[in-house]
Amino acid sequence: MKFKDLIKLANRQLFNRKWQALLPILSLVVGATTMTFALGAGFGVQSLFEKQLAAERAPRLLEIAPDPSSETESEKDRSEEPVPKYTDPSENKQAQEITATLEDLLLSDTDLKKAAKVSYVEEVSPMHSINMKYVTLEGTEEKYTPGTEPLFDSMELKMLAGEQADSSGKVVVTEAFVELETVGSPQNLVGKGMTLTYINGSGEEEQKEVTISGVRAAGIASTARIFIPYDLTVTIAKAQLQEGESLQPRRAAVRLQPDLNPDQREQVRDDLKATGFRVLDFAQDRDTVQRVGLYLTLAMAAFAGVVIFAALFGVANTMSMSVYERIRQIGLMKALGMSGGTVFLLFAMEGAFIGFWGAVIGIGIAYSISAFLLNPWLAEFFSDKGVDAAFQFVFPPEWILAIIVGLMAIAFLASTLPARRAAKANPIEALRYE
Amino acid sequence: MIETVNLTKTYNPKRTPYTAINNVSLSLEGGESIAIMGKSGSGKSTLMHLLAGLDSPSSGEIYVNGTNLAAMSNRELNTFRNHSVGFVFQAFYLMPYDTVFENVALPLRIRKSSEKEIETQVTEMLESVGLSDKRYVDTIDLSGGQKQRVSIARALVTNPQVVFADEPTGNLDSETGEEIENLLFRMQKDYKATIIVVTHDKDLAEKCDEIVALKDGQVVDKDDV
Ligand SMILES: Nc1ncnc2c1ncn2[C@@H]1O[C@H](COP(=O)(O)OP(=O)(O)OP(=O)(O)O)[C@@H](O)[C@H]1O
Ligand SMILES: [Mg+2]
Repeated sequence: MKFKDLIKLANRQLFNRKWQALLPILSLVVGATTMTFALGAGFGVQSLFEKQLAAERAPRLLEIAPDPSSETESEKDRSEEPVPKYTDPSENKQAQEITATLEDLLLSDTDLKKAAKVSYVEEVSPMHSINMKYVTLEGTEEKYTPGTEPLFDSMELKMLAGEQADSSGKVVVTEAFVELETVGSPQNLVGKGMTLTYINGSGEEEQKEVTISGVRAAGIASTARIFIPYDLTVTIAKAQLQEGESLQPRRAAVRLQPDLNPDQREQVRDDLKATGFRVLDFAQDRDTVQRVGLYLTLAMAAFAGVVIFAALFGVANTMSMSVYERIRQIGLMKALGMSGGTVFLLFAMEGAFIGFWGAVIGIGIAYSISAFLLNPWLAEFFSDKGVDAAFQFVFPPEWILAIIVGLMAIAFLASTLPARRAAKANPIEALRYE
Repeated sequence: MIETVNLTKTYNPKRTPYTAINNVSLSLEGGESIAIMGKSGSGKSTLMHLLAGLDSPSSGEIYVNGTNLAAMSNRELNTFRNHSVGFVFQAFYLMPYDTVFENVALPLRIRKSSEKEIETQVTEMLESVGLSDKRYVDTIDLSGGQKQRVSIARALVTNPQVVFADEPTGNLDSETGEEIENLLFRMQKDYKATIIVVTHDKDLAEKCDEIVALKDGQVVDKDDV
């Protein structure tokens, strides 16, 4: 028998017995609905954080700072005295300790080298705080004081207009600038000149002319910020140094190798902490939430799994009944020359279609509830709270297809025992069956 | 064309052996109508199953057009039944929730005929048995006589060498039974098939070209039945 005809016949057989098949289909619907929701939530969390991350920071960047607490505190903990003993203040230990603590807050060259040796770390760039007095936009007199952030090449900002700055003569501004009266649309900002004014080491005002190369889309928070290329931040920081001072970074940006997985990033964070750094990392939140999302998804998937497992007994039972009720037809088909293998496939496919309908109806229910009820409601809920990126259920089509194929496959497997009985039936005995 | 040599069939050979066919040697002409006649329990159906390749003999040989069925594999037997044999059963054995068309098409679908072939052959068959107007009716909604017409169409649609009909009129009233008998004989001539009718009905057997009379699993003179 041609496979196409076999599929048609299996479907007709199922349809003729639709009321008998209803129960296992319904239980599979429950399983498939839960499974689809689990999937939608899992991918929803992921896509939410991807959106935010794209707007906020590159996943390949970590920020480190020295962690003075780690050593001093552990030393105190390790003190042999049960109760701290009095020591003479003339020994000036406290003063020493304070200078030591200040030193500890700075990143030395050795610190940076140590950080660079941690595995998966590609580059460590010291970050210098710069003090911007004010900035002015081309064409207006108004002075603004937005926040400043260093812009690294490995960052991938989500742009609203224009492009990411590629030379030190250019900067990127956040969406908040669009709301200025003189601007109107993001496109108007691109190419506009901007003057950065700061106080140099000799106490005089100094200015840098830059061009806005693009506007970054708002992430979760939409504060006014300017992303200044890293080289330019170094130049300004140097210019702000007073006589005899040298650059003293308190923080450094750590660029990781591309395409690390969450576990590898976790390892980098642990290694950096063990080396004596404090790690500030937006991606860490993402990894944590992603993990929580994963557990949630897994829990729902596990429930779905149990429901589906129970449903499989229903499928097997329904198919047993089907074979029993059709034993004479099986006898006839075999008498007419149908092979045992084809009979097997015919009944196993009938079972697979129980899985198919269970999956399709279940996915349909979960998808409709999400698309027409939950997602609009969630979008409104989050926008009321002033959050731009709302949590939404996300259903990647390839995974939806995987649920359908998966349920068909296990329903097929659940039907193999009855199908085997059908395949082995002796045609004469089957035909004689009353 | 159909030949058996010392054909024996013993049921339950180990525990309660019962020899339903005992040392039967036959030689039947092709293109004829043959009746297998005998009382209930004489072994008619058993012999028919053996000749049709539905059951395997305990000993002996069966030759259909020179090939020995007893030596065939399961697979070869499936092909043999699909290509060379047609069946008409007393209890019809149709797919009740499939249309008349699909029921007649079934053996062609099993042998993977093309859609075009199926369309033309089934249409022609339905015409021959007078069921063209019932083409899309589910067979469960047909009368007994109509059901047996569907079986006859299904048996002949593959152009088989032999059609086996086991008590084809057993479930029908005498008038309808005679109609079906006439249809069977007409189709046998039209399609030049051999037809083997299993019956305990002497009148039906008399209409056939040849009679094989069975008694206790052995061939006897037809007057001894
Ligand atoms: N599967 C089986 N196991 C054991 N004995 C069987 C089996 N099939 C048939 N028999 C026995 O073999 C004998 C012949 O049976 P068969 O069905 O061939 O008779 P029949 O001539 O067709 O009778 P009827 O006219 O009633 O259909 C009977 O005695 C029957 O009980
Ligand atoms: Mg019989």
